[in-house]
Amino acid sequence: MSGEGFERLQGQIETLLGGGVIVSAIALAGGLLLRFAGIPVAEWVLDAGLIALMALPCARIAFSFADAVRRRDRLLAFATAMVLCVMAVSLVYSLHAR
Amino acid sequence: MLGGVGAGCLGALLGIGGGVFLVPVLNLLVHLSFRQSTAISLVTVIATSSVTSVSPTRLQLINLRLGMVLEIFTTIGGFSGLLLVYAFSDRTLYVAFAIVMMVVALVMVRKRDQRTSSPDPTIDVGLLGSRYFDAETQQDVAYRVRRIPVAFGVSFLAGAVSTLVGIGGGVLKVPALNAWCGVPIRAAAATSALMIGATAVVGALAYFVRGEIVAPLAAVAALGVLAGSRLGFAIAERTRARGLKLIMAGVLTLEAVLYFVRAAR
Repeated sequence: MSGEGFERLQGQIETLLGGGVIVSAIALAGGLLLRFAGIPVAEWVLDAGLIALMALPCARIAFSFADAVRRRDRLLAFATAMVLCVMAVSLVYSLHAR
Repeated sequence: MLGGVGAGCLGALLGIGGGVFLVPVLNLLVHLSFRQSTAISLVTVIATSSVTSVSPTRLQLINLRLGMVLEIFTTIGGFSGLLLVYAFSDRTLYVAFAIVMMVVALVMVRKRDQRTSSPDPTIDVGLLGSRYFDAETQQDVAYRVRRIPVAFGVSFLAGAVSTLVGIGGGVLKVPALNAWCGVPIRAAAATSALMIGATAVVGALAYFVRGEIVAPLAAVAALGVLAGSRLGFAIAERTRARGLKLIMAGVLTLEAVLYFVRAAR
């Protein structure tokens, strides 16, 4: 790892991704079971699982941004802010282009 | 489910994401449209990225600084791919996918005997370089990132390809970062594995809001890949998978030919 001070962020990323994967896997598996049982909320649960999964990288970048600001690391604060902006622009564009 | 497990397991074994296997399975066997297959594949790329990046041994290999800077370019590339994907005909996408599969096959044949970089822990790693402890050789490794504009360009291209054909893009970035930019292969692979999640989100979210993601199939594929990649890593620790890489390179070449034929019809 380049330089010191990334240990806290590494820990956060590990917890976030590890926990997030478990949560979304439970929602996806639960959604499939509900659908198999013919219960109508299944689609909602499946969508929630997918959204949770897609939120993981976004949350990881947001955590990294907060960490970069805390450490006054201008390069990383800029980089992560840019990535979040691109994600937001892409989402807004897709919502409009539907 | 089997496709997901298979793709995840093969992906982890071969050191690539499972997209190159999952997209053809969904498109040719399950008869989803190419864009629907791409969309589901991108969801599984996020799952792969998240699950492979959480182990402490992987985390210390990841160059967070380099990864976050390159993510600017992969996500902008991903967005560019998004602008193109609805402008392209299925035929163009087939050709793009076939070309990507040929490249993957070529990379797999070439890197079947991976080299490790020569460690020199005393160098100044610069702005984007890094150092880590290599458990395999029991040595500290330090490296600078050379030819940074090349890394930017390749990341942009990998991002665009990711959205267009539903792969993570690591197969383009990892060899380039290793060969041209001086990043040790293990660090390049770990950093790329983290990056592909953020890259795939751009395409996956877009397909999701456009209703291209068939949720139950995506759930099955994602669960399959989660299980499969763990299985794949467990097997990969015991074998170098050299023969398997050659066989799969052959399979990919066949798939590429199949997609060229589909495009020509």
